[in-house]
Amino acid sequence: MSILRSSFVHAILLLVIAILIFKYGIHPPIPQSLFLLYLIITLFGIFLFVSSSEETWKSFLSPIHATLYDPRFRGVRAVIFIVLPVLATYLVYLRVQPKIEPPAELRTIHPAPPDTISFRNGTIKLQGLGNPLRGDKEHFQEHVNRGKVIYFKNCFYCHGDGLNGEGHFAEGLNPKPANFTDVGTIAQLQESYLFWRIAKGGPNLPTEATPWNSAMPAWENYLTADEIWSVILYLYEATGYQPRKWEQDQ
Amino acid sequence: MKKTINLYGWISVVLLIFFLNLNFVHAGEAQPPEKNLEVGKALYQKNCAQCHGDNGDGKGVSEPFIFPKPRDFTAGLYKIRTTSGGQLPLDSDLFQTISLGMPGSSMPAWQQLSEADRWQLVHYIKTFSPKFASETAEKVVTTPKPAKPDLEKGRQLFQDLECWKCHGQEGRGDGPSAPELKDNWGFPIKPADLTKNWTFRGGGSVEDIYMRIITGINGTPMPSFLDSFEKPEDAWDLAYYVRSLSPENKPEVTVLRAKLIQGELPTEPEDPRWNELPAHYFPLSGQITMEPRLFTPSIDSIFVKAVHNNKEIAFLVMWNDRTQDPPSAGAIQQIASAEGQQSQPPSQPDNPSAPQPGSPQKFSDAIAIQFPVKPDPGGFIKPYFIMGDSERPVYLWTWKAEWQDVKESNASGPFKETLQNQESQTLQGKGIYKNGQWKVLFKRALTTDDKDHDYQFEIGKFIPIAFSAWDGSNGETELKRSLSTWYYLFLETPRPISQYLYPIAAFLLIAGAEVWFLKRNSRRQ
Amino acid sequence: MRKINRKVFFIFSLLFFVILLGSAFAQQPAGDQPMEYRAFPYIGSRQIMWIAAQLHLMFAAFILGVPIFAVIVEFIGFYARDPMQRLRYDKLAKEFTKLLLIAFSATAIWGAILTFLFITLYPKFFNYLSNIFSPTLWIYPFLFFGETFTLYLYWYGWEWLQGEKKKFHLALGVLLNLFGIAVLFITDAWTTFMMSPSGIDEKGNLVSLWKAINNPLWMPLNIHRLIANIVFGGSIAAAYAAFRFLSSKTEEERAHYDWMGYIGNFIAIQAFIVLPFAGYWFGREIYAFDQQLGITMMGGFLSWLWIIQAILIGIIFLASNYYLWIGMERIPGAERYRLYTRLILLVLVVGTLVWATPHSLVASLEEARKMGGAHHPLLGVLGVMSAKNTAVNIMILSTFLSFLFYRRGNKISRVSWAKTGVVIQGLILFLAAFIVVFYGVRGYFVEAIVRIGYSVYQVLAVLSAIILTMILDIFMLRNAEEIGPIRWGKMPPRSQYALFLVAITFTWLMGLMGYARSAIRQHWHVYGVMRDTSPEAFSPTLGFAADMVSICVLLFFALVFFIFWIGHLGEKTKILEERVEEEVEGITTAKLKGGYTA
Repeated sequence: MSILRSSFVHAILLLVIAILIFKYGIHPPIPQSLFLLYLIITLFGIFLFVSSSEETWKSFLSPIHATLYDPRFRGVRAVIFIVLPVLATYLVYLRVQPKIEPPAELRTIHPAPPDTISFRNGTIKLQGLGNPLRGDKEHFQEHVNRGKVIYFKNCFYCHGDGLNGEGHFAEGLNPKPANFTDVGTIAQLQESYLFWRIAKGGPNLPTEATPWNSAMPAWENYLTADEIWSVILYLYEATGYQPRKWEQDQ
Repeated sequence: MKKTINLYGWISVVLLIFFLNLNFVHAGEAQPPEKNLEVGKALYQKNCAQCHGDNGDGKGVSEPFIFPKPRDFTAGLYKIRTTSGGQLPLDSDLFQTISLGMPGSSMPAWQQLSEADRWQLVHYIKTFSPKFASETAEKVVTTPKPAKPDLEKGRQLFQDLECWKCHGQEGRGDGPSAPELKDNWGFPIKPADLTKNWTFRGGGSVEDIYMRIITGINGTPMPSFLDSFEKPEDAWDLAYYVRSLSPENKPEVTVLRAKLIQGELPTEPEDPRWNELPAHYFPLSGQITMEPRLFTPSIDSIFVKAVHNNKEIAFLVMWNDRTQDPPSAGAIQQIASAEGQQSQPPSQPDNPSAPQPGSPQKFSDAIAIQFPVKPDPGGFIKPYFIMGDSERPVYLWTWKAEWQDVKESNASGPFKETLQNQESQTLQGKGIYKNGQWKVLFKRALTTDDKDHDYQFEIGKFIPIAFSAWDGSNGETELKRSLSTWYYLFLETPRPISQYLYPIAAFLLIAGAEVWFLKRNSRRQ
Repeated sequence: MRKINRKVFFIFSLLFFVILLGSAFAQQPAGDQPMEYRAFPYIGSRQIMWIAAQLHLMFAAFILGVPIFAVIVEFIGFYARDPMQRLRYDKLAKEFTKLLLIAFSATAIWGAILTFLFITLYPKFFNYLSNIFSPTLWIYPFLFFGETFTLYLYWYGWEWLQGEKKKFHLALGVLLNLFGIAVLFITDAWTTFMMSPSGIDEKGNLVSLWKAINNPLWMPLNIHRLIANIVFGGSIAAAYAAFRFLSSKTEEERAHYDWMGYIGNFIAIQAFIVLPFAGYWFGREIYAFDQQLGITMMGGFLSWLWIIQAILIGIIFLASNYYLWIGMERIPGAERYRLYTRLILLVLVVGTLVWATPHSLVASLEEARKMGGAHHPLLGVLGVMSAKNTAVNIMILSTFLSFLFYRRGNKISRVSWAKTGVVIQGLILFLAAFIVVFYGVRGYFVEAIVRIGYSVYQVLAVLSAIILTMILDIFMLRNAEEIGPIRWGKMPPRSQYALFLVAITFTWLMGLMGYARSAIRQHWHVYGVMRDTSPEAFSPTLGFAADMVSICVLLFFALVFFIFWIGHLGEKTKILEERVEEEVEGITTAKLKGGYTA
């Protein structure tokens, strides 16, 4: 029997390829948690692949069966039977080593916003709120320009000249500043959400978003509502994204 | 056979697609496009004008908030060149500068612009200075890289060419003339800290360093040394020596691991046992969340070592600071004699940062380590990283140069810091300043009597830890500081007995199963 | 055995009835401070309520789902031309009903326990709900009794109402389902009222009972649960068949339970294909009722739930496809399609990978730094809705394709346009896949509101492709030539474990999604109306919820196993099998004598 036709070899091969792709094929490297998740799904798929027909299943089992029972493979069996417990011992030994990998942080990037927020001395209802400056078509460009100036006086140290979260302070921060050019940030949020995050900053995040680590200031202490809205306008204009609209706008 | 071909066929298709993809990613773009100043201007207005100004004079809206200052293009003086000292840059030099940015400054690498767009910017930027119309520049003559660098010779050249005068004896940018340096516009300028090659403006490789040495950096006190070497290839030795002052790779953030040792812990920052421990790197950023904010911090990172012996824990915090504040008596003398003719003590460097004019008040250099007061039972929630808040206060260890001592305190937010009572002050510490570097040692027992205010260290747990650093001569004090967010400290544990029991149990289990299997097998036969 | 069963059942039903009626009229307890909460010792009020409600729900879902397809199977048997088929289907329908009968008392017992606990542990909350819904609380027991009596008539009248009287029996079956659905709808009204209260004034007093019942989420949940009940019932029945298959001793038994498992799985997967759409509608209505609820569901700490859900659904898809592929081993001629099934496997695995890619990743500090934040620049693209919708739709199409291959495994079309037909089918499916991918990719370039609309196009493309292809297939395979009969019973045991896996995964998924539905109310008993002021008002962590769901699933299967085992013991007389055997023998004898020409 050609070794290339053995399902056992196929399975090993597929597994190796999958591991290579997950480990080295994706840049930047994916975190361990996701790698494990991918690996488990792939392993499950490979198992289904070899066992989904009688022929491949037998072909898959036969080398295993042979090493276990066939007298010709007595030597291989002996080696495996010695290596196996030693390997298990070693793996368990590694496992019970004190880990010094930091605990993984389950951080929600976009937590659910509240219904209303306090802003300076009043309150603002976020539900259904749009950018009041967006309707002002006449002075639209003025608002955007003003937003740009505000951005480059206040925001760009962290969020960067390119709005990509790569400002010169980003290196020292964790979590990293938001990258507005990513499709997963402002492109999928309502403008009121941005208003909430800008006005209230890091310390007012809900617990699941690790408020204790965010260096985002509560900008209500520095900027007026109008200034915040014009920055928001600039963010969308500069990235070319459209804000998510509220359902009733349809 | 057919099936086999199919499977391998599919595998090759997948791999092919995969590698083709990679190739597409790496494939370069087309040749430089045709010059179009209109496009260049639009791109400049969108991406560059906020710092470099609408007219290229370096007076954009962000200028007051950043240091180093944005380049003034009207003078035609460019730092990163492959041309002789004082000459204009080549177009490709400008392209490189835009593409790779200026590490250590606010100028990012503009990779998100297409190569065509970056070329248009090169063309447009040249219109700001009339020099480009009248002068020409040529690529400097270089010598090939030697097969084997002579580091000892490089070290000698560093002395002979007086590099140390600005860059300092150990290259930390703390040389005796460093405080007076001004650029061509009269702004103060700091000599490069040669121990952090990832902050070198034109790149940190040996080739980059070599180029900076032979071409100089226009607009700054760094001249071209092209004609200073006996043999042209000596420049390479110097470049290699400079490169050797920085680590092989830029350090990465890891868990601060406190090694478990037997016996007494070191009590001196210079104790040789520290040299055996790994230094953990923590980047810092300016505190810009709460007023008063610090937009132009001078300390960008610290290195920390930690060690414990099950009873006590000791930290050694190291960071580079070009000036010692307040200066020690010895330091003043040293500088004065080095300056020779200058009679007055070193002048204060102008405050490069603040929008408000005038030289800042000088404060003391300082460092602080921050812990929560108590661990969170869930291990997840931490106090707010800037000194905690009323709900979750923090526990601080502070060392100040002016105290020459360390103190414990608690804080429940900025300006809500209170030093602990004298009887609760069990922290010991010592700091020394040498060649542009502070080394500060902290030592405390793992557990103390003041359980309400002191963090009680447990071994084998991930303990939140954060740092703050102040450079007094940069006007830093209180909230004006460099700081980090929360990282983790881990105290190594002695090996528990279970660590040996579990592997043995695993061995017995598997071996037992095998024996059972073999017995059953032979019985069957 | 059966008598004891019945006795227990009646005792508990009666208790249930009395309690419901009694509590409907319950007065506030005497004293100035009415009791709001009581604490359940050791376990805690929330946990014990959680377990009781979840187990009641699982049994209830089973006894509502099973009669739906039991009656359908009976109808198929009734209209079948072949007397062998008639008998087989009739036997199957009766066997399904037997499962129903045994699970019925368990449902009632858990319902009674739930009611007891609710009244004693949350008296104020119960009082409020019973004030709003008192008339339905009176109707509910009657419907429940109606369902019970119909079920008993349906079961015990099975042999009596054969032949000429079969039509009455079928009518009884339909009536049984009507009662079941009515019971479901009433309980759904209570549940959804807690999420989207309507028909009340600002102080929470009842204004319109009908509006309270017909609140915005009532109908979506009705439909969602109805379909899910069929899936659940089908998968449990298939698991039961798998259990019997593995423990059967004769070839006939094995063939029968192989077939039963196939039918159960078939029903489950057919309904399962529609379930995501019903769930999607339910989710949309939650958004429409209150965006806050919707955002809590999708964006907050619950967002991780959707990743777990994706993995579980991926497993269900993979396992049930796998069952079909192994099943094709016993169909002569089906090996023609093996290459395609391999491709489908690849598509399903990739689809699961895409679907299970989270938007924000769990990463340690160092890993996050390397990625430049919790967002992975490349995989972040897969983390958004566009990619996930595309993956799900493609997976549904692939599963449907598996069914097509299974269906035509041993058949060769005799119609003249067979080749053209296959090409058209291929084109339709390809077009659907193209539309799905096209809108999936386009979704990245348009704003969110348009993107949401795209998912409708994707769903429509998939559904219409399935329907069109199926219609073509029916015509193509009419009077098709058979390469050989399906060798029922010739299934390797591993295929049966796939059925177990589907049943367990689906039960777990049901528990977890139920938690999501309930948890989005956060600290409200009745959202926006009645606050939860108990010490357990906080939302439990996802890990805790997963543990609770696992406990419920374990308890459920332990009970199911116990009940089936008891039912098995009770089959001393084996009336059913004997009757079938006799009749089958009779027919075979008759066939041999040339009495029948089928």
